[in-house]
Amino acid sequence: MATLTTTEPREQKKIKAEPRPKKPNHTAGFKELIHWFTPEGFREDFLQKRLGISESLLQTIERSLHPKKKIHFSAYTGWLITFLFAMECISGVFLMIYYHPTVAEAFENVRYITNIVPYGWLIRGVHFWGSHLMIGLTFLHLLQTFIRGGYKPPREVTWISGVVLLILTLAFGLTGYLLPWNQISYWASTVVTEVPMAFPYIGHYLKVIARGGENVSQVTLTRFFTMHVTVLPALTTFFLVVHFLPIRNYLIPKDLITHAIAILLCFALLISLATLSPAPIHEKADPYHTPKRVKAEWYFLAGQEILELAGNLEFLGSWAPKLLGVLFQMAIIALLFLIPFIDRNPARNPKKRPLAIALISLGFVCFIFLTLFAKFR
Amino acid sequence: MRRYFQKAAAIVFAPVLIFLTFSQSLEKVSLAQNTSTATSQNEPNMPRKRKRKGNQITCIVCHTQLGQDKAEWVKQWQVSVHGRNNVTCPACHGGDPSSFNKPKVEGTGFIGKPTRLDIPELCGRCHSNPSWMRQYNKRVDQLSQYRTSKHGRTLFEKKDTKVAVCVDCHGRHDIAKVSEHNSLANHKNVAKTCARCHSNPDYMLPYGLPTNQLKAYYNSYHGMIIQNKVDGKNPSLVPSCPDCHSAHGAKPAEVSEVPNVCGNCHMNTAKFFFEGGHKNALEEQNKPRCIDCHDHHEIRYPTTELFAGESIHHCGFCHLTNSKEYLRGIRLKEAIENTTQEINRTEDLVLALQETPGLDVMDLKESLLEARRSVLEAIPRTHSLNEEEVTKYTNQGMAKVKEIKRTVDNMKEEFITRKKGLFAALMVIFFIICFLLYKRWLLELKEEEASL
Repeated sequence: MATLTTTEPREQKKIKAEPRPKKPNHTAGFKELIHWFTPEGFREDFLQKRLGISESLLQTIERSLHPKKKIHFSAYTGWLITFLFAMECISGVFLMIYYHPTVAEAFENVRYITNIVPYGWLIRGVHFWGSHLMIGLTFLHLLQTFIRGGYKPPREVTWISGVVLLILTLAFGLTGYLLPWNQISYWASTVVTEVPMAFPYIGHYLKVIARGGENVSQVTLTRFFTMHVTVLPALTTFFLVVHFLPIRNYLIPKDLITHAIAILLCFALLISLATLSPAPIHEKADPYHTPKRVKAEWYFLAGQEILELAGNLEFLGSWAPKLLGVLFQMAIIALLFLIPFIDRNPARNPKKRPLAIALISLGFVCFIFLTLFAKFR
Repeated sequence: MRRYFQKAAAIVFAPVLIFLTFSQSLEKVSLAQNTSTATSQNEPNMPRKRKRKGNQITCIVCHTQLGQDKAEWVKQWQVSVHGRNNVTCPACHGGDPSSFNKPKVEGTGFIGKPTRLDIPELCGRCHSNPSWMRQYNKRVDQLSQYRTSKHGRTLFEKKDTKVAVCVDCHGRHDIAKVSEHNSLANHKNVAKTCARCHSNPDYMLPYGLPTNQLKAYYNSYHGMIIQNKVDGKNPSLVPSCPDCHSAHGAKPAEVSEVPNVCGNCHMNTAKFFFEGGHKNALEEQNKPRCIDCHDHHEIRYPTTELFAGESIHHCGFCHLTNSKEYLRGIRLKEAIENTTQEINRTEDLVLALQETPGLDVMDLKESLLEARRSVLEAIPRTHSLNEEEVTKYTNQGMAKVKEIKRTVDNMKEEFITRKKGLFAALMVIFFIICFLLYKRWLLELKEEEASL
C-alpha cells in the first residue's frame, strides 16, 4: 500500500509536464470569413484559393470590352431590368407556395393570396407591377441601346442575346397572364393563342400544340405554368449571363452607389404601385361567356392591331391577310436580330446615322400609336 | 313567206309550250307523290280510316289547280303538324280521294266543311283516342275538358256556335304544335289568340264580359316578362291566359280556387296564406282572394305599398286604419322596408369599394345576396300575417348587413394602414438614398483630392 502511495504523485507530475494543447482560435476563423467579403480577400482567398480560379482566367474575365468612361443612362435601365427579374423570381417563389395551377383552384388561390395571406397582396402586386415595369424598361433599353449604336462590333452577341431576352420577357408576360385564370386573362390568352391559325395548313397544329387541345383549358394552364416557372427562368438566366459577359468592370464604388440609388428608386416605385394600385382580381374565367371586346395586354396590343389592320386587306383572300400580318411581325423580329449585320456604318454617334435613327424612331412611334389606338378604340 | 314565218313561230313557241305543260304536270305529280309517300305509311286506326287505291290524293291535285285560297289550304296543310304526320284530308273531311271519279260519292263518308258544332267531336275522334295518341305521347283529355269549359257548355248546351272551338285557337289547315312559335296556341301567342274574341266589344256584348283583359295583362308584371321587357326573366316561365283559366277547360276560377291557381307557381306564398288568418276570412266571407290585393289581369310587381300607401288594394281597403290588423300591416311594411333600404345603402358602399382595384368584394357581394335572400324569405311569410316569423328573417338580413358594413370598414382601415406602411417604407428608402448620396459625395471629394 505504501509503495502505491509513493508512486501516485510521480505519475501526476509526469502528466502535468506534458504541454497543454492549444485552444482553437474561433475568432481567427470568423476574421477569415469576413476577409472573404473584402475585394482582396474575395479575389485571392475565395476565388483563387477556394474555387481554384487562376489569376490569368480572372484577368481575362475582368478585361473590359468597354472603354472606362462615364456610364450612360441605358446601363441603368439594364441593371433595373435585372433587378426586376430578381424581384419577379423572389415574389414568384412566394406566390408559388400558395398557387395550384388547376382550373378549379387557380382563381381561388389568387384570391386567397390577395385576401388572406399576410402581405400576399404586396407580393402579388410586386409580381404584377414588376412584370409591367420589366417589359416597359426592356423596350426602353432596346431603344436606348439602338440609338447609342450598342449593336455594333464587338457587341453583336450582346445585342442578339438582348433581343432573345426581349422575346423571353414577352413570353413571360404571355404565360403568366393566364395563370390567375380570370375572365380577362382567359380570353386574352385565347386571342393570342389563336394567332398561329394565320399559317395555312400547319396553323391548326401550332394552335393545338400551344393550347394542348382545341380550347384554352386545364392542359393550357399546366403548360403555361410549367413554361413560366421552369423553362423561361432557366433560359432567361442563361441569356442574361451571355448578355452580361462582355459588359464588366465598370462597377467602381461611385457607380455602384449610383446604381444602388436607381434600384432603390425603382423599388420605391414598385411598392408604391403595388400598394396604391393593387393587382386586380377580376371575375373567374368563364369559357361560355365571351366578353364584348377581348384585348391582349398592352405590350401585345400593337401586334393585335397589326393583325386586325391586315385583316382589312380582304381583296387578298381569306387567309392571306392574317398570314401577312403575322409574317410582318416576324420580319420585324428577324430584322432586330440581323441589324448588327445589316448596318455596316461604323459610326456610333446618332447624328452620323440618320437613316438608322429615322427607322427606329418611326418604328417606335408606330408601336406607341398602334398601342394607343388599340387601347382606346 | 307567210308559211316560213308560221314555221319559225311554231319552232320558237312549241318548246316553250311543251316546257310549260310539262312543268305543270311535273308539279302535280310531285305533289301527289309527296303525299302518297306520306300516306303510304300507317294511317290512324280511326272510324274514318280507309285504304286508298292507287298512290295519289285527288283532293290535292284538284285543289291545287283551283288556285287562290284553296291551293293555299294545301300548302298550309303540307307544312302543318298533320301534314308532317300523314294525317290527310279524309281524316277531317271524309270522302275517298283515291280516284277522281268518286271523292264526294255517297257512302264514302264525305263531310266537306265540318260545322262548328261538330268540330270538337271531329277532332276528338283522334285526339281523345288513347290508343292512337299514345304514339305521339299526347294527352287525350282535351274533349272531356272542353265539355266542362264555359266554351264547351255554351256550345253543347245552348248550341251557340259563336264560342271558341278547336280551330279558333289551333288553326284550320295550318295547325302547328303548341310548342312551335307559329302556333296560335303557343305560350307567347295565346294571349293574343284569346284576345281575338275577348278584346272584341261587339263580340263580347251578348255575354256581358269585359274586353280589357289583354291590355291589363300586358301592363302586368307577367305580361311585361312575356313581352321580354324585364331583363333576366324567362318569358317561358310566366303565366299566360291558359295557365290560370285552363286551356281546354277554360273558365274563370272560383273564389276558393284562386289561392290554389296562383299557388301553382307561388307555392311558398300559398302555403303561408293558408297558414294565416286570411284563409278563415276567405272561407267565411269569400275574401280576401289573391286578386283582391294583387289584382287579377293587371298584376303589378308587389311593393310594400300593398300594406299601406298609394295602392288602392292596401290593408286599409278592408281594415280600419286604427285597427290592430292595419297597424300590424304597417309594422310588417316597416320591417321589410327598413331591411331593404339598409341593404341598398350597404350595396352602394360595396360598389364604391369595388372601384378600388385589387380590393376583393366578391365575398361581400355574396353576403349582400344572402341578406336579400333573407328579405325574400320574409316577404312570402307576410301572407301568414305572423309578425314574429317575418321579423325573424328581416333581422337575419339586418345582421348580415351589419357584418358587411364591419368588413367594409375593416377593408378601408386596412387600405389606410397599407398607405401608412408604404409611407414608412418610402421614408426608409429616402434616408438610405440620402446616405448613399452622402457617401458618393465623399468619394467624389476623395477623387478630387487625389487628382490635385
